[in-house]
Amino acid sequence: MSAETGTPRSPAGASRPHLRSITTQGWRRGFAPLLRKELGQWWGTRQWLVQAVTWLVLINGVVGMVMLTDPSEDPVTLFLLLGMLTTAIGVVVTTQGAIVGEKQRGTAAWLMSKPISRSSFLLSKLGGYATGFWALAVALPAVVYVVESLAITGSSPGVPLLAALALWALHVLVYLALVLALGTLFRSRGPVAAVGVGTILAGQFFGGMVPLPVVTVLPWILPDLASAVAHGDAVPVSIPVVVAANLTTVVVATGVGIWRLTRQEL
Amino acid sequence: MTNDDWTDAIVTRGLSKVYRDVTGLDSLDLRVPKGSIFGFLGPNGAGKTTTIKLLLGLTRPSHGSATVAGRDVVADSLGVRQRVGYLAQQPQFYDHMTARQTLRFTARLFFTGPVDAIENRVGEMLELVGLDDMADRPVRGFSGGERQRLGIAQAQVNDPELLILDEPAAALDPLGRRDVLEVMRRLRDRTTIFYSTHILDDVERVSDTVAILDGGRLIAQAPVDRLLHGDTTSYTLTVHGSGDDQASLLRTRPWVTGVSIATTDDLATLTVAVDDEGAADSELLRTVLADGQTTVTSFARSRRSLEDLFIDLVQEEAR
Repeated sequence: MSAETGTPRSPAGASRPHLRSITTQGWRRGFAPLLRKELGQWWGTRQWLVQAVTWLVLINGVVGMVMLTDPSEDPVTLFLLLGMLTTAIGVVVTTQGAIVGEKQRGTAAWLMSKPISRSSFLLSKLGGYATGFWALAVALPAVVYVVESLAITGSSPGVPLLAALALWALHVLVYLALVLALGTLFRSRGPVAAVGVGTILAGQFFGGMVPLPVVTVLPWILPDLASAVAHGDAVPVSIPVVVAANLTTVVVATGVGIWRLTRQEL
Repeated sequence: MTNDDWTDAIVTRGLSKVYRDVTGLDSLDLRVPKGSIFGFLGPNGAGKTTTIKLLLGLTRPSHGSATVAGRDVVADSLGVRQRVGYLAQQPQFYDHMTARQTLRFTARLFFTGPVDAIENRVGEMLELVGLDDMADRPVRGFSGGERQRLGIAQAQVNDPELLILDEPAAALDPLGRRDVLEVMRRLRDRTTIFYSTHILDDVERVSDTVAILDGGRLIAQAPVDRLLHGDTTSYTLTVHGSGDDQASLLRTRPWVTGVSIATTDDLATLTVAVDDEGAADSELLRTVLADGQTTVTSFARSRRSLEDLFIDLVQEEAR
């Protein structure tokens, strides 16, 4: 037997006592093992550490520095606006290859040769990445922010911050669904990243020019809304409408992604 | 016929795939008998991988239909994939996973059950392909041969009724090829194996039936022996001299259908086509040696190589 290619030794027994074939049909087939795989990629590798350090440095590091050096700056607003902008860009950068990369490498074709639905493939990615970002790019910086706020200023933002964090989580979800859908539409990462980052920057530069009724249904309004909510300020839009509109965007983007994926040759 | 009462592992009827203006597969009618090792031959671009993708539901047919293990590949794609194992031409896995994790993940796509039962199944597969001693190493460090063996293990993890292998030995060194062919032989009793290849030597070594595809069209399908021997068998013998006397003598025999002579120096090589192998086996050499003068330096039944046949068929198709 060579070192590289050993001769197989004994044939395996064909028996598989106690194992039951999965008989689930339809769009959910394969979702649970695929989600476990996605979560394993976040939590079973060093990815969680890289993400955690990245967000702590980018968000809490900057906010902490500002709190120490410029007491006149509103730390809650800075924390939310900076955090939501950077995590949105982080979602695009991290997720741009989630679908395209699997198509290019051939792992998507390998998976789809197994009895799983294509909707499970996409939804498991949405679930896995959302969980990772919510935990490491939203919840962890928020906890650290509360601690550093107490340590530096002696006060913390309190309960309204939780509502703002929920809007932040929605912001992450919208861009995540968008980038995953883009991954089903394009064959390479470039257009996915360009459209994703372009959408975020367009909100930064042109968001103020868009009429209020229109911007209500876009994710661009979410950072300002989160900041207002954290301060307990009155807001010029209906928060339930904004939330419903952005959740609709998530559903539509995911639906388009699944529709495209089911018609695509892998 | 019920879904589970099938005799052909694969049946395709007019299966076609058209990409814009290019025909990837043109009205393929294929029948792969249950229990066979079926070699699917063809030059690059012949449509082999397209056929496999259609069978696995990785793409949809433009026309025609196909069943795998009695199930329609479009209407019951999940049912098909539940019963099939697939090894891609260049198998790709998640690099951060070990071989054991890869097989565990794959097994969980097919089965539920206690952790021990899954682990036992994974252990059996690792042993089957000889990867048990590197089971806990990340796949990213695997050589091509090791990756291929892991590919066979994951394809077999569900005890499939049909194993589809796309060019399983194409990228391997001779030892890797030997190992893969050996695993295929081991699996012969358990499952039907349908594999594409352009390595004709491998086909002759392990297949019992072959189909040859070219330009998206099926140009031949038959058991290997019948394809190689055709309807007539020929023998070659080399004698001293011109060979004319021996050729004349042989032509008088009723089981001889033709004799051709090629001479070099003082030797003549006679190619004798016969339609009765039994008669030829017992009488041909005796007939030539009957005069007591002839010296035969070599004698053999000639076997047409699959390579010759393949080239002939493809060139004929091109014309």
